[in-house]
Amino acid sequence: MSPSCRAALASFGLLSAGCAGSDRADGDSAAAPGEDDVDQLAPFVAEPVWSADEMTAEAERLVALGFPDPNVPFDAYKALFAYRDDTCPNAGDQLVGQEMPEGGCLAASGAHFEGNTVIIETNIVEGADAIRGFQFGGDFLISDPSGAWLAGGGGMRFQTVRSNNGDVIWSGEAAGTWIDTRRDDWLGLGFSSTFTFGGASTADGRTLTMNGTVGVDGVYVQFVDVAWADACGGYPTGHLRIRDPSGVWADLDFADRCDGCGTLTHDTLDDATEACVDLSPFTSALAALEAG
Amino acid sequence: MIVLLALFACAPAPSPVVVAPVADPLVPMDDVRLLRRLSLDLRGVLPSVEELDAVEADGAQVDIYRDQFLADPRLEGRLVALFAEQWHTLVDAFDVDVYDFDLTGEDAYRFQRSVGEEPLRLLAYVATHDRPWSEIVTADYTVANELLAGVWPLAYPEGGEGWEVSTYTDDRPAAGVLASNGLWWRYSTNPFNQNRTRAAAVFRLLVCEDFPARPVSFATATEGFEGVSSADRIQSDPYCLACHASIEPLASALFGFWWFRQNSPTEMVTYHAEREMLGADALNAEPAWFGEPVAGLEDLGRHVAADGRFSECAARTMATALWRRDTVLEDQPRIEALESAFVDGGMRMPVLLRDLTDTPEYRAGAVTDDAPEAVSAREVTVRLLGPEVLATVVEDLTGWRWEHGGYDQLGNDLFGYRMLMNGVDGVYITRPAQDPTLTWALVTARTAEASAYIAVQHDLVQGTSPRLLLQTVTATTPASDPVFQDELAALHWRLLARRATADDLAALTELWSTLYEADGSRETSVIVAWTGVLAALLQHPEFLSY
Repeated sequence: MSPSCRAALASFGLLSAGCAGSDRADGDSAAAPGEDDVDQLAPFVAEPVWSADEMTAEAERLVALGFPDPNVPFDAYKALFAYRDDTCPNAGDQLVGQEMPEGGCLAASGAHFEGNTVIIETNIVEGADAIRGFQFGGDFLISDPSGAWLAGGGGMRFQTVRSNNGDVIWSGEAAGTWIDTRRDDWLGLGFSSTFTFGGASTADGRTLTMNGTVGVDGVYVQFVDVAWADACGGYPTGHLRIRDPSGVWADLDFADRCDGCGTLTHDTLDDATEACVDLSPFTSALAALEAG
Repeated sequence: MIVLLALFACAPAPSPVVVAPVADPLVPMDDVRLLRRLSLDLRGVLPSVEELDAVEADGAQVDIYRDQFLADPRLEGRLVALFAEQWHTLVDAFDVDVYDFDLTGEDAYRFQRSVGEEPLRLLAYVATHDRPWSEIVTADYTVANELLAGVWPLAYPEGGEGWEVSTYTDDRPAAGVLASNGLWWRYSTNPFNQNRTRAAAVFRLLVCEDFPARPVSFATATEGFEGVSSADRIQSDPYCLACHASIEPLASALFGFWWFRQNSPTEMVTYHAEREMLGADALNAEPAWFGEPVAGLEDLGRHVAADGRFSECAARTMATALWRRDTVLEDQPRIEALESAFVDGGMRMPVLLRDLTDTPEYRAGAVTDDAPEAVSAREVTVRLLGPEVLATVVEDLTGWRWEHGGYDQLGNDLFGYRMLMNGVDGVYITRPAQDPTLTWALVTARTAEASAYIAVQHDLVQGTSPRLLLQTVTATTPASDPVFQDELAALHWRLLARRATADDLAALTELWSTLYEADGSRETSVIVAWTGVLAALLQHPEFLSY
């Protein structure tokens, strides 16, 4: 693979491996578009591809791929800077595209750097309170000497606030499109999102929240005010939306049942159905971020 | 009425849209020049001598040739150029550039044009492959070339060459151009705009509703809403809602193409299915098409196709392209007739093109002396060659295309002369100019001079066969030789589609002789003289108009 391999994004993981339409990925249907000449003006009626069980199974498959922890790509980015030299990419730990040749630069190590990044790290101690975190964003691609690469377009953010009374609040955001070909988890498969999360651990207990969208490996979900609080026994409230390959979204409403299950509705379902989904890989990872 | 009856009685297969009103102020052009117009519009080349001769002998042949042109493979390329005038996707710069994709500067022009042509190629493919026009918003495929297949998530046919039917592999819905990267790279958005510009583009392009063109009076809109944020006002002020009640719900349906970070190739190459539902929150509007809820982009395409304005807009769009002017209220009966025939014909574009090229507006070569002033001002009875057609005509005649550093000089404005030659760049100039300008004359003159030079070098200096323009003369043929006069007459016929008069021949001969003598009457002066004569013919008003 060429070290300057932004084009490879086109054929990589998330960007090519969906469930819907995967039967036409070989280009077969390209030979005869609209062969059946369906009535183009007929009302659109979604034919669900997945059953309710399959929807929740796919959601569980997605969360099993790992929580989109902003620290992961940020650490990977910093590690790749070990391959830099005195002139490539440029000074500091950020990429400044205007100061590099068109198409990026090639370091003596064989690593290739291109794009722009911005990093803001925070480490504030005021009295007994401490605020630590980072913002990391841009659009970049770095390949190591072996040709494996990390690419990102968007922003990552994470922050913890520790008070002298023992309270800890942490929050973060994973937004944009990110890929690290050296991994085989959510980041390795390619990840697209506009996802925010937070946690609070206080004398009143612990609360975790997730909002926004996540897409990995052909599975697309949206968290709508999903929260885990001690009052609900650690089970979620809020809504989890799951995209059927037909393109229609199903809504799993956890309501206040506090048992990990909810009511699944879908435009083409005549009746609502009950469904349960195990999101514990996400909640465990999010809880662990309390440690910063 | 008698005239109408007579028309119906004489026409063997009357088209429903070719009913000329009594005392039509439009004067049809002669059949040979009409053939030339049809050939240029539908094939982008001049008619051959054989075609000119056939129509000169029998005017009825023009319609037979027209039907052949509608089946000509070059029609696809012409439609790309015609659609580009209104879809505005052939811009010289996108938010990302060639260097973002492991390509070099040598690929820059091809990259820009490939991206911009993608939606146009899909339109042209549907138009020329017996597909219903509705497929432009319902297709589960796109049309892409090797370059796009290398940078976008596309399944491109193995062994394919050039523009081929291809499919995206990133789970984007089947929605034709509405799911094409090329369209949304051209019509970008930002965190404040939130797809509203895109929604406006969809309305303009697909149902001919041009919201941004509507008059806005902020003085009127302000009353009673002082201190209210613009975000709230557009959802509550009736004056704003007149547009935004439709804009926001459509914008809401387009969030699969929402990019968290602008100018990010990483974000821009793929569809983001997981973001489809974000619009409802971001815009406080559920996805809908003029009040009808839509369940995603695929459903949106169906709603667009089922909208009664969609087929009318197709008729209006193509009328604008072929009449070379905007349509006006007076055109409505004709547009409705065209649309009706188009729909009855299964929404096949050749049906519409055939009917449009039958209309008096298309076939007019002049207006009558007593034509109403509005008609005289409106109708474009003499059309100027635009940059795209001039490029293909010259290439067909000489094999030469004016390029510089990989850029088509008549097809771009970074280094070339597209806008200077009345072309559309899609950003600053959004409709082709119809009047000759100083810059248009300069570009056509330089193109003519270069074309003439190349043709004469090929035909007389190198003597390469087959010849391009000079078919019979040699470098030693004197002006007094009958062969010389025959060559001039043949050139006049081929390039201008009008038989040369004695005065025409005399003028061309005098020009040739003047140039020959001015160059010193040397052996090589023949080359100079023929180059000058050809250059004159290639910038003759009758060559540059049609």
